[in-house]
Amino acid sequence: MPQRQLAAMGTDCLLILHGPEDDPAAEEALERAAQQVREYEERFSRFRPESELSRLNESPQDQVQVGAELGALLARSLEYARITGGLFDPVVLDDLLVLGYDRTFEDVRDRPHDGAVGETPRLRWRDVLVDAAHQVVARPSGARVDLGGIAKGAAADAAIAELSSYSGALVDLGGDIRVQGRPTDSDFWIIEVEDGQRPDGAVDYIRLRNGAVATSSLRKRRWLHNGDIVHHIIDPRNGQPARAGVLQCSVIADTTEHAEVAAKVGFIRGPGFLHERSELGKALGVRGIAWLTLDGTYRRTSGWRKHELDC
Amino acid sequence: MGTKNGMKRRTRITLALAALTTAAFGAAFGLVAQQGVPGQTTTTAAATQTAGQSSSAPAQSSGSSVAPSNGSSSSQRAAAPRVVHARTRAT
Repeated sequence: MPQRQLAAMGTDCLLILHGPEDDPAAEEALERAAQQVREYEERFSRFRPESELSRLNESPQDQVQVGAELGALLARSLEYARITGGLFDPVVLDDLLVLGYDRTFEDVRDRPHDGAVGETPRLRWRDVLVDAAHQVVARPSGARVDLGGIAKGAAADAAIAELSSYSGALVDLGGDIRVQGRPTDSDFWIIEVEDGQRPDGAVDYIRLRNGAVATSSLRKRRWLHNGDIVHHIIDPRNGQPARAGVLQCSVIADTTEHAEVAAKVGFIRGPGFLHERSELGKALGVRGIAWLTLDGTYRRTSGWRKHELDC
Repeated sequence: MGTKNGMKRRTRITLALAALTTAAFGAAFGLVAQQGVPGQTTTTAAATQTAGQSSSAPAQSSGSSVAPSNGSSSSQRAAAPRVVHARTRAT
């Protein structure tokens, strides 16, 4: 199957098409999809000083004109914050910065952060207003936004749209995966679920035709802060790394963006809070959820089990 | 004599019915056993069903929010399939 690998959004990315090898049209489609991913990184990464998001975060103005896509992405983020009761919050960046995640993760990991915690600003999603029609973002100066996970999910969804004319395609942005149709060598796309306790191992395998899966995990982005191990998934209720006893939460949903949001909520609240049949689960197009908890227990909803592969 | 012949006939009928019942039960049991073989149902289901509608999914009581974990540790799960296309993971 034609495929393309690239490094973007701070991770390894893989794009696959169901089609003949050496097809110029397929190669062009893969390049368009790859370009979508690169553009999302250029425009919405907080680690790129020249990105549109960085310009918004650094602006001293209370009202900032933004591009249509950033406005739409922000508006959707605020809507996710509303329907999750603030469990998903794109405005927790300052809490992360206070904990030392103020550089790319490689720098944070290699240099333990020691510093006074101080009072966090505690600005939250309710402090931000988006006028999508006029592409204006209004927020107190200092309310900074991090679109990390949701931007990656949106990029995967945008990339798969570039491949929609093919009978099968897969976009994998560092574990945020969106598929359509079927591959050439199987009736379903087969997705391995990392075992956070044994990173080289798998805790599960699922099959997908049209849909997405994303995983929130504390396995990788952990660092030392004042001698304590902290991680990057902030519980907006207290501004601290989430501590619900979860090692990782994976969600199958209709889009990668939805799967990202739901996986974060599932991680923050732990097993039992989110379900595909709940109001929130339905609003986010959730089809199944699986948790691996810190004690090594693997739990999944009935919807997830329907996607499990029979080995 | 007539009574003896009647008893023999009834015995033969009873034996024949028992044999038929045994054969029918065996056929039914064999069919169920065959359907329970992993791989055969998977292939059929995969070829005919859309994602999320697997007939091989375990039954789940309605209303429960989380499937019983049965205390399964991650090391007890996940035999590798023949083909894997991607991996969802920590990033």
